[in-house]
Amino acid sequence: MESLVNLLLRDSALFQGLGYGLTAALVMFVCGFIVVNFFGLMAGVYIFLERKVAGWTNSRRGPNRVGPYGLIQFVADGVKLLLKEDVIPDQADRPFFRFAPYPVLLGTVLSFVVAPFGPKLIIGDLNLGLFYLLATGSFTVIGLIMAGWASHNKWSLLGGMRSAAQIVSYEIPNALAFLLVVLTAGTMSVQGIIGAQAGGIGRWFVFSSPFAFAAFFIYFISAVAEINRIPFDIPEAESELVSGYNVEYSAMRFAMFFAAEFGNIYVVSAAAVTCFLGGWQVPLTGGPEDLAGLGRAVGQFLAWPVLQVALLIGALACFFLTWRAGRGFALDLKRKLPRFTDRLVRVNSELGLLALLFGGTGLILALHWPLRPYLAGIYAFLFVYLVPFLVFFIKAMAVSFVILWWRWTLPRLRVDQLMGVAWKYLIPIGFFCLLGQAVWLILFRSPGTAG
Amino acid sequence: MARFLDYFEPRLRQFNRLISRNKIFKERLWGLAVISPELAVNYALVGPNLRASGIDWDLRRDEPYSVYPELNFEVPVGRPECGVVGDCYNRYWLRIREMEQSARLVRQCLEKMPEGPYWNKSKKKLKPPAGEVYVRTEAPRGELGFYLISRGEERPYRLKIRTGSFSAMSIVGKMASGLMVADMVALISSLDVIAPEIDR
Repeated sequence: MESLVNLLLRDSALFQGLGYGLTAALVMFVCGFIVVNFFGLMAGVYIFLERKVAGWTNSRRGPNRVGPYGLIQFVADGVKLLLKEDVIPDQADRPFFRFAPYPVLLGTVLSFVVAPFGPKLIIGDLNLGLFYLLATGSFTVIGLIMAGWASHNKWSLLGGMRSAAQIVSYEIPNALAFLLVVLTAGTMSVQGIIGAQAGGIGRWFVFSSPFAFAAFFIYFISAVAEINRIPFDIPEAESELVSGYNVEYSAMRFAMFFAAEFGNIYVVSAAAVTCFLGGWQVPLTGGPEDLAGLGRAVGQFLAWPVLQVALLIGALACFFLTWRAGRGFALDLKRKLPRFTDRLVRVNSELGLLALLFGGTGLILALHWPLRPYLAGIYAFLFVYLVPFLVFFIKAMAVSFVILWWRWTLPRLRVDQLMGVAWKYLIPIGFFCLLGQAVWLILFRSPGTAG
Repeated sequence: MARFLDYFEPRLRQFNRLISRNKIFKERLWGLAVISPELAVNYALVGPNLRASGIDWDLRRDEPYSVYPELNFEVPVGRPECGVVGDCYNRYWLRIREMEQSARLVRQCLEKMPEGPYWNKSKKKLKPPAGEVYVRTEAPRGELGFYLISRGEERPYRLKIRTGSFSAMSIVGKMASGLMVADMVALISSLDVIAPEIDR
């Protein structure tokens, strides 16, 4: 973001007139707005995905009524939560009850400051990036304790206390894994860590040494415990504490806890991807120059006139197919080939949607016609910034899929077993890995490649 | 039915692999709330709860009724390899084994079922002869006993239904002392206490 501010100040007279402070404030506001919206969108995506993954694990489909394939389900959930009555228990501690969701939400949203989206797409590349992530993770605890206490409910209190103990205990293996990464990369800055993993999948930190491999799992387990997900679900266990610390919350306050939990899934997956799985480094390319070259090539290819015409015809054909699929039977095959159409009717809606997708893409690509001379430049720009973002996003989604999947597969650990895992297993193994990694780096790292 | 069994048995093995050997699951259930055989008999536990404590008693084999004498099945009993005899893991494991045996029984019934009518045309209002009777069968939760006193009319003088959940509920209070809150869930579920069934 700082580079963006400087860019604007240098190139545009309008912003020069406003001065540094105001420009910076404006850019901060816009970037912050975009990122907070991204957080909200990710929370919604996870709400939807969680129910879909739950369905698939249980041999059923998950929500598919609200929009096409249930995609608008999270909007429905959000609207429901907005419209619910806000109940505050009579004997609850009102100021704390009202205030408690905010630290929890803040803890999640503040972590997005150092969430890297691409080579220069980050709000603030703090040189204490990883340390800041740890700090905002701890910020949640005070909100949880407040929520547990202020609800005036012994089960909430139990849940809040347990949650505090759990989060605080699991911060230690979390920090140990991060320390290992900082040791390997030589910097705490998030973009620096990603930069140190450039050059293909072999340079990812998770493969850099067996100690780092173990540290990845240590980090993953302690991260799942930090965000109170199964198997470390005791603070909000559904069958044991009836939703624990947030049982007395309804409507929008509950929505904040809810959104914070799901946003945390993204933060934790993003952190795992950043530290261990290469961040936004695109696996087969070297760096921005390769990507720019690729982009230019793609742009030149797409500017080819014959391709444009072919795409337009293809798009029209796809829309025709969608229309026919929408009308019930693709290409009127039911009459002509009755043996095949059973399967075809079942696959109709998917066929229609797929045809729509292809048609839409074809149309957009065909509409590049007037932009033909500029396409190389545009695509170079897009490839340098968009492809790393997509790569990061796909990696983070893969990691979060595992987190979502575990919820429906693993049983819950009892609270003493949970604490036992942290203190008796993860911390000793974490220290051992840290030491091992230091020794490994001394033995095997040649002096020139320190990040 | 046969198709369902073909679908069911591999699924049972699959879920067994997923859950029964899961370390977390075993940690939660192994050695928890051990009910010794004497305690089980004193609290009148029946069915899987009784068998998991090591007592080999199954009404289908020991007091057979209906078509059970012709059917071939094993009665699983609590074993020390699967947790302490009488603990939650043994009760869980026993029920899984009983599922397998049920599938076996159903297959045998399918093969042996004779042709002919399957609808029992009985009168809507029965008038049993005067007297009292206690009939028990082996239901999933244990011995399901019906004690009926009749005076020869349409309505019974007394009907008492005795269920396995009733005795299982009574032992929960005794077993629960010293357990953690999370263990209560494991205890009550492993005893298979179904609230509506306690007092029919």
